[in-house]
Amino acid sequence: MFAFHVIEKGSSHILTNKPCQDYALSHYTKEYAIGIVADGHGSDRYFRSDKGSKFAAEVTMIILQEFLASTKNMTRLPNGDWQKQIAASIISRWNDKIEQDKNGNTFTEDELGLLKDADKARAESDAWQFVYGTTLIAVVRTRECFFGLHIGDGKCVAIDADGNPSQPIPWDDDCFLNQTTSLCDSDAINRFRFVYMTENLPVAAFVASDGVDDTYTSDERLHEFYLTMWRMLQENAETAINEIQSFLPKMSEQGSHDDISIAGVLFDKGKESHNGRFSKFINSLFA
Amino acid sequence: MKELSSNTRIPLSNGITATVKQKLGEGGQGSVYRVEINGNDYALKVYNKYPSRAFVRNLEDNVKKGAPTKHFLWPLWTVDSSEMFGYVMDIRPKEYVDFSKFLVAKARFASWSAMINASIQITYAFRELHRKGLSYQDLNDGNFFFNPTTGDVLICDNDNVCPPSTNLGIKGKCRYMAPEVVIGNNKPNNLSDYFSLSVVLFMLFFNNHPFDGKRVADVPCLNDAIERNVYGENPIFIYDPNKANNRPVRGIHTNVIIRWPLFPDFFRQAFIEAFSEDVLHDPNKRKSDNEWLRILTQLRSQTITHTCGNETFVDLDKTFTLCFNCQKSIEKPLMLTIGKQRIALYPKMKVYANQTSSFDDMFTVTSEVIINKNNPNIWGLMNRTQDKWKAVYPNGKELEIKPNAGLPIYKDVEIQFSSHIKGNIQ
Amino acid sequence: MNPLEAVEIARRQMTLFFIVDTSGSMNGEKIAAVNTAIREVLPEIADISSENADAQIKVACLQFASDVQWLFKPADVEGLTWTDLNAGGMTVMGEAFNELNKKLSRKEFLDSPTGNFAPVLFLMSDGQPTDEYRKALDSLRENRWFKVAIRVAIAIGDDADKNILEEFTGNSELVLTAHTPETLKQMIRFVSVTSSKIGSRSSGIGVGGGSANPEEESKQAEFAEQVKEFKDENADLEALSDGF
Repeated sequence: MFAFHVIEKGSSHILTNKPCQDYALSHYTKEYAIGIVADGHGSDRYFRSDKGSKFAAEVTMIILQEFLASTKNMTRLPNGDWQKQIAASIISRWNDKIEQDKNGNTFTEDELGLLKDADKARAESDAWQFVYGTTLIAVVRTRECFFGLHIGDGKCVAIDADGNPSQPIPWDDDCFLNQTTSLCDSDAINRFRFVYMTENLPVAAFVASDGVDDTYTSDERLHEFYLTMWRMLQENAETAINEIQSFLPKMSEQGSHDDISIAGVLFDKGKESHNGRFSKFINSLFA
Repeated sequence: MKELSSNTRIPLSNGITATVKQKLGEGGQGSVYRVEINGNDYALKVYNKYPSRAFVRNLEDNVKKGAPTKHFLWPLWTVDSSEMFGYVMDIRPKEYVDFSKFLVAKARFASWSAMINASIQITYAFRELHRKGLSYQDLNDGNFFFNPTTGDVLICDNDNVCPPSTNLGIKGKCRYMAPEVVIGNNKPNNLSDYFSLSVVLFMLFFNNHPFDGKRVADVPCLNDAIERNVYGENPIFIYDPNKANNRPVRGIHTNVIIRWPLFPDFFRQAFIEAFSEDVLHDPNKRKSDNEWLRILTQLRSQTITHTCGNETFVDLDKTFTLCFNCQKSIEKPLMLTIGKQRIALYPKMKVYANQTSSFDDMFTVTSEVIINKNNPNIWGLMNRTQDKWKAVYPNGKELEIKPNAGLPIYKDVEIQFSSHIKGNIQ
Repeated sequence: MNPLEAVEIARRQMTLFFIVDTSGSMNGEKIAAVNTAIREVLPEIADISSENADAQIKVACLQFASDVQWLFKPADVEGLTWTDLNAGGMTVMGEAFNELNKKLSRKEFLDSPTGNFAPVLFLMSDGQPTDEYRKALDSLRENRWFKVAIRVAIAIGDDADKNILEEFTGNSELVLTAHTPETLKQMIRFVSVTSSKIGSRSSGIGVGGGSANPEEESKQAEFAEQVKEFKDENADLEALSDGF
């Protein structure tokens, strides 16, 4: 099992001196690999979306690990709509975090000054959550299954054992051009999309913010990007990750100009069992 | 149990034969088929395994007793042979939709009136079932079908209906089972039915389980132990005034968050009481079917059709209410007080037999409020019965109101519906 | 070399649609003005496109008279040569709306939301539709791409139905009226250049989930402002009624 993530501030944000609004996390053990990205919404309206995306990724990581721990010895799936339950936990705890942040750091005059009148009124009412708005994609690969959840834009590309790329998580047509659904939506629970597979499991799955798919603008090119990345990771993970990270600024400049975050989960039966390149890299990470 | 093929002839307990037409569906216990009897369509349920003798006897008893009300899709005749056991019931008309579809917003009631009508029919049906000495024992969202336009109800899965003292092995469906049944302290009975009814009513109005709030949302993985705790050992109502740790969560429980504030105080209070810690753990304190009927019919008497064309609730304890559709202010209308019932006197409001007479009939309209054709500022109360009423004015003058006549609605008028039932306009 | 560099980063596309009434009444001065204006403005748009690192501008032209025809489907503006439109026949605007509705979709001209900016829809007409247009227009207005597009129209002469054009653009400010060939040419140039510049600009991100998108709206709003300014500056030209 292996997982990694990379984040890069977009060229347009560098120019306008805005913070990076993307966030990503990854984690792996012998049993599972988790990859998460969250993309805070861009314009001035969403002035705390950098925090929103960070909180989203963090609570998702905690929740997924709790989920995996509690289902470790289960022989069957949990009761009811278990994926929706995970999404509900994420929404609930994310709302807690942003509320904590808002109460601990009230909106400043400068922040509110960025808003148009109608939005300013909203921010000062009960409907302030939008300023933290973010998308979220998370995937988990265990030995037995692959599952993922997604709200908003950004894409998940998976590669099967035969090297065929696909986008296993259903799309939401309400994510169109610059529009996206969001974790801050009042019916967020119904805007989540899920995937769950127990056969033909992907050997690699990548999730990324729309900074990536807005650069590669067609499925063909996007898939080529990830196939290339996968080949690089198989060759030498450490070098690959460095190369990916160093490529991101160029990618943003030539492509979407947006923040870029990518997380990947990989499962390679062959290389995992022995002290190969992967384990050397793992050790160096935790040195 | 072998599958029945089309055109198989099945002999029924009453001597008639049913002809199998097609399979309609399959469940855990058995399969349902469309059959033809004397040119009419019915539904036949056949069990996968031959049930216990106690079950069979109970079903035969139920056939003899007959359905408590027309709302039950009740066993009409049984089929009992060496090969199978089952029963025939009326077939459910196409326009009826399963409750679970309403709960996931795949179906909607056409109006608040339809929703309230559904709630009254369910509660009435169960009251009659209980009065017949039976308990349902497995009340849950899978048993109901509604006509989304009218709110008419059909109740199915009546296989387990039996006297409270008996139990055919059923416990119920989690989330609908009373706490004491979940924990295993008691077997299901009428008091546990009352609990299940209150859950069904809450879900009907708010599309949310009364205990599904933050406590449940925060848990990434629900398992039997957690469910037992949340729904049985330690349930907390989402709007419990004393415990705020299970409130509905923004982004998840949207329906109840939007709907809860729309309802009048007395209605919300009824649920707060029904799901208070005290009542949850003491079955004897639970509201009976009849008490719920009083609450629901009172709600119906406060549901008006506003001039904007949509329905809204008027609060009879406030000088004005905001219409929740158009946001315009509605001045508190005059109300007709009959005993403990208060009826908002607003155009199109209907009054029912159980309010104006001693008949226990909450479906027959006995009066309604109309707008005077010549002067829209004058509203009248019409007599839709066959009896004469008398109106007594503050100055002592009396007026007879014949069937289909009406009286203009003015304050402080007393209406005598009968020798012992009087109402006052206030 | 970093293998990732080999993956092509193509520019996103912005398509400018000319939707031109080529009915009989357009014959003569009017169609000549349109042809000249578009022929002259294409190189300017090509410049905007080549200088724009974010977007590749494409141009398409749909003509409608007694039937509808694509003079050309979306093609790169660089290197595009204009073929003159000929006028003659009826005014099947309804059919034009239907055809536009059909082609403004992922399966047709606009292959992916990530690959395309909102298009510019530029309608020019001098008269009344001769076919059933109501349903077609209502249906077109439900099209996702249509809703986010920059929409603008020129009424050529006074016989054009400004109400329909306003319904098309959704904003009376975005309907211009040309009374002379000169004005018409100037308007076509102005609209084509300005809408291309604004439309091909990368914009920020908005949260919508189905509702109106503030960022796209701001492109429309900005365009409307510029059109208004143009109208004000050229008020005297518009006032001349001896022309068409």
